[in-house]
Amino acid sequence: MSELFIEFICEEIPARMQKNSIRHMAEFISSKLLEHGLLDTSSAAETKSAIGPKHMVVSLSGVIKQQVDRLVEKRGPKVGAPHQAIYGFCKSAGISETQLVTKKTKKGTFYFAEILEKGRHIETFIPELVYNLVSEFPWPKSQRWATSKLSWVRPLHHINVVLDGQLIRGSLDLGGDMTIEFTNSGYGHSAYHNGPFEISGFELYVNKMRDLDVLVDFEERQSFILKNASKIAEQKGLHLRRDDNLLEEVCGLVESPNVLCGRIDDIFMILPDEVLVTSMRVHQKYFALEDENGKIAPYFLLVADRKPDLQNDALIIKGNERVLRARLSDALFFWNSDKAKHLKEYRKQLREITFYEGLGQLSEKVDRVEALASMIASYIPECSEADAFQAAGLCKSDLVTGMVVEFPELQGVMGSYYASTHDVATPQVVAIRDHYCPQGADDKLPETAEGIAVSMADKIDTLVGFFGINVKPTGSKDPFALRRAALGILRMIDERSISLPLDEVLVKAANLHGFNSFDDELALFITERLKVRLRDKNISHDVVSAAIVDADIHNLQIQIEKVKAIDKMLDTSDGMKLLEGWRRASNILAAEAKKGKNNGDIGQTSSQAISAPSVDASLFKLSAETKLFEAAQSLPDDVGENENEIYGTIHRFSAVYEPIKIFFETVIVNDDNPEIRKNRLNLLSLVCTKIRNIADLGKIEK
Amino acid sequence: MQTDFQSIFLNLQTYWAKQGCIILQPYDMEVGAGTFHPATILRSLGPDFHWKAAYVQPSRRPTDGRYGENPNRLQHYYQFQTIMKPSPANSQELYLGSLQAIGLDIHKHDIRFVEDDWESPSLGAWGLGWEVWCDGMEVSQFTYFQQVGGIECDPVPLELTYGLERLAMFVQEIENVYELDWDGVPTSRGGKVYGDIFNLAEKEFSKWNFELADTAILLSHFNDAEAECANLLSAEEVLPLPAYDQCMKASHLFNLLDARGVISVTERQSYIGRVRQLAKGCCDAWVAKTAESNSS
Repeated sequence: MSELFIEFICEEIPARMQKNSIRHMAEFISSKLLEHGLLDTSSAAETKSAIGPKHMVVSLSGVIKQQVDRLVEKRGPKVGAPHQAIYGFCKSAGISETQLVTKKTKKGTFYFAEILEKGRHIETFIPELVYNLVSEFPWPKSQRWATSKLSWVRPLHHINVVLDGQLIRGSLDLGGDMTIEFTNSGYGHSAYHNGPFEISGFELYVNKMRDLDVLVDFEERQSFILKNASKIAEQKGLHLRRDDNLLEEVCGLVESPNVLCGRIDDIFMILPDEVLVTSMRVHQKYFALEDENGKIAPYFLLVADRKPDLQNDALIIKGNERVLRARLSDALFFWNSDKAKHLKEYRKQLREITFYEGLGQLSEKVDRVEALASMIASYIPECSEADAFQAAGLCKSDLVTGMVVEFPELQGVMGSYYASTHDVATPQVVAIRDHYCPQGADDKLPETAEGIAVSMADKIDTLVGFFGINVKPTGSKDPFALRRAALGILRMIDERSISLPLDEVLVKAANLHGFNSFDDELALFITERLKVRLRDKNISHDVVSAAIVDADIHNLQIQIEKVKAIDKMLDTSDGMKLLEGWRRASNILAAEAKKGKNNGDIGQTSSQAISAPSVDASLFKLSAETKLFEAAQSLPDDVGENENEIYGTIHRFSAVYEPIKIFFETVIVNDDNPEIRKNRLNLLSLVCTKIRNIADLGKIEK
Repeated sequence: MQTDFQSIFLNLQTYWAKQGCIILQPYDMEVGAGTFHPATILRSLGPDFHWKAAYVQPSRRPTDGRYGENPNRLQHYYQFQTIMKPSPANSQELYLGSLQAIGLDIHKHDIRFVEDDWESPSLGAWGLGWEVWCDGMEVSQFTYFQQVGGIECDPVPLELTYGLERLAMFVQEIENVYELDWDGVPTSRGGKVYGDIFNLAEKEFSKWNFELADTAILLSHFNDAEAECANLLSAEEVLPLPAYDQCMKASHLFNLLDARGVISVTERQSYIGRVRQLAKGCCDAWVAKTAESNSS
């Protein structure tokens, strides 16, 4: 087996695109080779890749140089066709008439040509592969350059193709009279090295690049930066504030990482930690250090793309410190001038900002959230309605402050700082800070009850509003993060066990928007999101669909507890017995329904409306009938109001199994007397109906 | 190497002249950036397969005024602009050479190309490229134009924009723009620093931009410029160059209105759309007219 090495050298690839693009390149090459019988995927074969700002490298070790010859059958005219047709066919297939074979097919007997297709050598295949890779590459954004017709993420300069140490000749036609000839020339760090070196294979290439001051492997750079950053932190008796996104970004900006430490002037240390960290990260891509209490220390770490050198390092640090001083001076200016006014004053300016066309100004959103927050607060135990109301009224004010205009990601956080400098009550301050939480499945929830109330109010207002003007998520498109908003609401209800009539809150939210009621699809959207969430929490999908009632959002807390309780029950042997009994009963009823012998009140399928069938106890002949009837009658019609009741209810259901079992052992449903027979079917139907009130066990797959 | 302000742009001019650029002078109108100069916008389209030019362009950003009190922000500053069509194969190398030419040792400093896609909604233009960092300071914009006035650029031009004050502050290692040494002559012998020349202007223009400019007059000027531009584009003999002057005027008037705070968030989009319409009209007319005269 052979090693194929392909490297693309281009101008700096945006950091955020690097990881995905190298994955795509490796997959594209190996899948195309495989498709054409040029790759052996057996044990020893290996695909390696590396990516830096200017280098994309893929190396495959299981490459087959030559495709196997294939016998290709080509169907010709029908036997008995005019000779001219046969002659024409042979000519186009390149064979003589004596080489024709005849074969029977479903459509008749035909002439066939058997042509030996010579396998291609990989050399002839590579240029085509490279062209397709480039022309179909899914860059988020790409560009043309000079006169090129093809696009790439940034101008592409070299393509190295090496098979077992040998250059494979070929070229890429970029259009517009531009061509890139394949080479085997590697280039090190451009600040230190000019001349190319000859590439022979992946391992040697990576080592040679390291010698030429490029760590071409993303993971190697990443661990190098992390190790050195942590070392510097340790030397200062501090810790690195971990930021994996920043680490990934910085890794995509350097070839020869050199972690350096600069100082933050003391005058800036009065800024909140969030401001320091954000200002350093967003504009300068610096890491922050913190002390053992998590407080930001007056240092920053930058990652330069230059070899360590005492004199130069000092110069680079000095330059970066100067830039940071200018940045933090801006932040300090915003901090001081923003604090001069109360959030109430900023609230007035929200009239100038459109929330969304058709949903009014931001000031109107705040008015609505205020009203909703106090309504929601009344359903949350130990939640101050007044604080929730006040906090909601101030929660969006920081959007017009200088700091948040500069750093939108500090929304909420800045509001809370500005609120506390004006002596706003602590529960309100915390609620303002937290009301954007949770921002996804892993984000933290608001810390306090008031925070929950404001957060829910904000999210509900957004959902009801956008659904109300028919702006809904479709497929992968969800520009206003409505799915995330719904998930946030569900997480708060579930994880804080909040029992609230969501349908009523939604109606109120709709009224505040000036709609009569909320959009029909919204309730279904919410229960769909609930199903997704429960499945994500490892509850099997069949249990979720058996227990959730679509579009019933009156009390989601109950729905959630019910799913959990049923999931638990079905894990027990009693639960399995119940399932078995239910299946026998419903099979009999389904068979009846099929026969068409039912008269409307038996044998319902799960999708039909359910009404309790009438059972006549005087027609019972056996004690098993009586016992089952009593057991069924004792079952509750609904699941209960709180967690304990729900678990109790679900538990009681398992008690029906014994009577069902005895019933089937001793009773023959098909009695000669049609009255008795019908009564028995009705009894089974009653049992199924009772169970179906709680869950549709027909959807359970185990 | 001399690092005073004027030496920096003189050295840049000399360097780019050596690379085959024609050296132009600033366009004699108020514009927000060097990109607006017809030598960049119109020539990025147009008939010339080759177009290489470099020039200094005073740029006005009324909302960036700080009454002469912020050491980093100005409502009037200088950009150095290089435009090369088609983009050279060694674009980055040429750019780094220009930093060497003004005394920045690229082997000692940490130079980085950080993704920064450029888009000008009012010019209907976009391109891909980077902001160039030198020891963490953004010193240039590096852009491969893809579209101008809504028209595909073919060939693709390379635009380099240097913020001259920032670059000079970096080279001179100072933190207050007003302390920039302009001419390399000690102040005791009559030498000038940046503040001597521009501090008063920053104060006065900030006051005018933010507080005094008569918005009714500005608004009517905007409407006039828009109307005049449209007239020139629909005249019997279409005149894209004078029309484009009116487009630049409208764009600057919009910036002034914006600084006066009389344009609401929703109106903003519509003003930008109106300027874009003018820009597109001018670009279309310029392409059509120059193609015509080329073929005749």
